[in-house]
Amino acid sequence: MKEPLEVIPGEKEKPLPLFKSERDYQEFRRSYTEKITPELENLREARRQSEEQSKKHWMC
Amino acid sequence: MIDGQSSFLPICTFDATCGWNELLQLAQPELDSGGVGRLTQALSEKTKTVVLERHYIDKDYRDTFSNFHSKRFSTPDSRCLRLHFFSKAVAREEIRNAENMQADYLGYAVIRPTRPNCLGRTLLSPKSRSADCGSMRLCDETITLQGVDLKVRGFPFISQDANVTVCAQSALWMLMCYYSNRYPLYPETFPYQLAKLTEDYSLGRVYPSSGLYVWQMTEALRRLGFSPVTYTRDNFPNDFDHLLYTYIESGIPVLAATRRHVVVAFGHKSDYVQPNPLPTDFSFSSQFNHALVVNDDNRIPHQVLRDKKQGTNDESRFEFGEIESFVAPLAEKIFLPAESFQKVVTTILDRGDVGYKALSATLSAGPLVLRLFLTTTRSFKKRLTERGMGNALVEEVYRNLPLPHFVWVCEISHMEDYLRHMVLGEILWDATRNASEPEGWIALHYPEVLVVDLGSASNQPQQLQKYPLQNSHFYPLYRSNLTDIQL
Repeated sequence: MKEPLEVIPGEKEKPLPLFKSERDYQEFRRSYTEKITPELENLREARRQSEEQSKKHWMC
Repeated sequence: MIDGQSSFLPICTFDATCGWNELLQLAQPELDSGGVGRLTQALSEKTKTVVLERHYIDKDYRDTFSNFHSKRFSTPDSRCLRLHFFSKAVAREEIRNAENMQADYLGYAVIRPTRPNCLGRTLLSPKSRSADCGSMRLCDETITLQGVDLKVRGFPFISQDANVTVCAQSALWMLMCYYSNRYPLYPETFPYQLAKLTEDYSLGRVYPSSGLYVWQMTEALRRLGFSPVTYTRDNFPNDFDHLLYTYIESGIPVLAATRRHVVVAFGHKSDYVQPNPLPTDFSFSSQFNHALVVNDDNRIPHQVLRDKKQGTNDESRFEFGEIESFVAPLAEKIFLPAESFQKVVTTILDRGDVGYKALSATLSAGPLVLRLFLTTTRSFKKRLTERGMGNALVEEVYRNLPLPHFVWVCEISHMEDYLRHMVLGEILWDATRNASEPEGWIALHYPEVLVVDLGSASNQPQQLQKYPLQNSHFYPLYRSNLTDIQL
């Protein structure tokens, strides 16, 4: 991998990793995805049904 | 007083001897009593002079004339009348000097020889009204009157001709006129072209038109380069008004459909008053919204559509609860819709590891107000200096970080600060991401910490890094998507 680019040229204090370990980061990703996936599915279905309903909604 | 009554360019200055009735006589045969009634309602408070441009060739009317009216046995005139409105008395010799007239120019209306609706292409400044119209998405046009350029900023309006266009095509025209005025990416689209856009998705003839399904309007927008998304109140019973507001707050005008009619909503009116009781944990800025600003082709430009009707002059005949569905014409590269962004951002804020209660004592001190909106990185970065972002380091990092063309923003504030239009932080999310990807996170800014994904900035895997912040303070909320009209 290439050397990471500096966000602020010549910065004295580098930013720190948000998570202490790779394991913590992977746990963040796993729990985030697990929590959000079913709720996003519900929203996707609500919009699909909205599109279906729009086929019968007449504007004159 | 009427100057040049029999000329190509009569000037009607309102005084004791001349008013809207005299204008109606002067503007024959194009203007009818219904048309002058609507103009009076929209313009009577500020208009002092009307300049009549006779034998005006209007491109939108000429389009329907060529493709429809000219094919009839009895044809209307192919030309129109264009009216220009001024908020001061204008003498004929003054017209040659734009500098003298620009500040008082209220806009124009093309009067077509069509019945029952004669109001054609119209662009009026919101300043033509005496009431405060709220926050709106507007576009600019430069028109030429006797070789002199005059600028007007407003939202395009047209009434249906009840042949080629009914409310559906008129609403599409208003939307497309706005987009083509504002962005070169979108083509100017004439009324007959709009009618033809749906011919592959229609049963039977497309004109004379009896109307369109919302789905056909969505398809027309897709063919014009948008990625439209549709919402119905039935399927979003709790968030429908909030989502509609969120798209308008993002500067995206929407098609708002009632049971049988459709209007274009392009602004909102909000009262920033502390609710009682205070919401717990967090609430959204949509709670302050009590009206939308709409163009309804059957009425006048810049109507106010309220949560509950109050019977005022500028009011729509509809209220919030009557809007059954809306279509937001998103740009092609906005893959993440509003409801998905709301879900991901509230999930992040709620988390035990990166949520505000875990990382920010300042934000944890009281209930939060969140404002959600889309914007372009270009506009967001342009306003970094004037806003300050509460901390010089945040401003510098945002300025330097490569960002996607469109970003979703969730501004974070306490209630008392939000009422002063100040915020304490924000979450930026990549609008080109799929909602289920945890990598959509670009930045999370609390008063005590800034977390950024340095990975996506270099087109690499996610790499979340944090900058501790000190001495952060509140800063002005982002204003760019809408223009505040304060009279």
